[in-house]
Amino acid sequence: MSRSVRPGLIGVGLIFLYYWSVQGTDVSLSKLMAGLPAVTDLLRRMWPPDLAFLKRMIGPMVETVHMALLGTVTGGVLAVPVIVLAAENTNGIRPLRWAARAVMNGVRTMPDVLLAAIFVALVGIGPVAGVAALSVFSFGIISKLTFEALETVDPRPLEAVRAVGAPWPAWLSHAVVPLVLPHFLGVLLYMFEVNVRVATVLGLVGAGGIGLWLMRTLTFFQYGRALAIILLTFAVVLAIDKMSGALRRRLT
Amino acid sequence: MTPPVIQLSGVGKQYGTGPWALRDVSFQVEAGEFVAVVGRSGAGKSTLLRLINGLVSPTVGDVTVWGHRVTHLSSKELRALRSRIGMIFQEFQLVDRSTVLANVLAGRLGRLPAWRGALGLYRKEDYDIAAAALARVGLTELAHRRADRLSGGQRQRTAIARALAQQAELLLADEPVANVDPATARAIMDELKQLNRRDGITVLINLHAIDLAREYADRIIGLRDGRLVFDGPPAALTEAALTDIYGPAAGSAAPDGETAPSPNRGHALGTRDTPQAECSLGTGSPSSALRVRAASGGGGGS
Repeated sequence: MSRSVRPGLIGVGLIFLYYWSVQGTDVSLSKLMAGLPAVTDLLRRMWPPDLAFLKRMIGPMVETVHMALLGTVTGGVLAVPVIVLAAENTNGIRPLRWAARAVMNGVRTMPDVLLAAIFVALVGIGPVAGVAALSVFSFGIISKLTFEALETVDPRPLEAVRAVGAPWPAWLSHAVVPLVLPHFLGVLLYMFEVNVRVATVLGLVGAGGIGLWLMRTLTFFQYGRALAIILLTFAVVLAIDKMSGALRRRLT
Repeated sequence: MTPPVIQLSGVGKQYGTGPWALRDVSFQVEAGEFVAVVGRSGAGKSTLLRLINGLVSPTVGDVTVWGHRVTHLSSKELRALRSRIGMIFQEFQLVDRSTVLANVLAGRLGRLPAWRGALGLYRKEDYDIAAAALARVGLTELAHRRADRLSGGQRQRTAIARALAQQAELLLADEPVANVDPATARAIMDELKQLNRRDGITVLINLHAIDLAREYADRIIGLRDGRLVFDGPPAALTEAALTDIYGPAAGSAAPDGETAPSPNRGHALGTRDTPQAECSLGTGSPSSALRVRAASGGGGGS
């Protein structure tokens, strides 16, 4: 075990790092304040939102949610074998475990927007790149969170089902799956919430979804339309978060 | 001549580089015996049981079940062996989120082709056997209830039904009544005794309630610090023998166990849901340990 670190020491370190970052980026409160008039100016130009345009944005918004859904499910399916290979209680072969963990850790080092940019370069502009990026992004997070949950599952029922002489696949489906399924579904729902938010910005790099339209309207100074998109996104993300959160609480 | 059901010769078990959980243990169990293994917590009782169905491998010595050396079996042969051995546990070890029926059907997994088991495609006979097992333990009504909605006694009866669904010929029971109230403990012990008498299932049971061991077992094996220190009929379990098993101070407490054979006698120490309390008390003085042990099997919560 590594030695424990005193919280006070961490606090001092954080303060130092914060100061260092302020110096490095030349951020100051006065500069932020100086920008305030520009904010009110922008808001005045945005108001009122272009509600006629809203109707035309329903299609792109639905596409955004579809991208999130496809990315979440694809990532989840890809994650399943890696989860089983990565967890110590389902895979006793250490090199295989290391390989599985290396894959999931490697994938998670790539930020979502970077993945999207890469896929746009590979498959071209459009939602296909977005779905591919979200799938890989989701795979990394789902596999990591679920395998950690799997390793903390109660080992005793697992032992009991092994003791009846169940073959490995039957043991997986009858002992491991029932125990870890609620965790897995919870992670999937959480991932869907995250992906809806991420999908709204992937359009900025050309990977489909409503972000493309947001960028376009801003570029052409159509602030009323931009505000309509922002409000729509806000409403949809909030609604999905609420529904998904309610579902997750019922998973026990 | 048929080989003994269980034969241990010079078995020792060391976990990693830690102390030896078992040292030079040898005994054999014949078909149809009801054998209780007694000893303090940490005496090696659980390890002993797990050696028999290969959940734990011995460091030295040989474990033979129905003439098969457990350590020399392929994984397929080991699964076939395990499918004939039922196991029930102190903490029941059910899949909590699954129904009673699903838990009992899991007992069939060792007898099904792997693909059927993986997909949960049980055959009609499997359902029939599971239904019969549930009827046997009186849980037919609760078949579709989730396991985590059951009482301790119902959970343990589900675990027994799982072993019945295996059509086990040997039953290993690891402190099966330590987590239920005394009345339920009796009902479960009666059930196990009946399985032994009526169905001819060989039973090897770990118990820390010495009075239950005396009452139900044909034969008692005593373990102390991983060594076999007693092997004989309940009548031979004298105070001196108890001292061998539980340590010197336990001798004075032994009469408590002996003169209090009625498990329904009231005691302040109820044991339902408080296995930890009993363990922590057990690490105190040996005499209090034995008294609590006797109470846990024999005392009624009040």
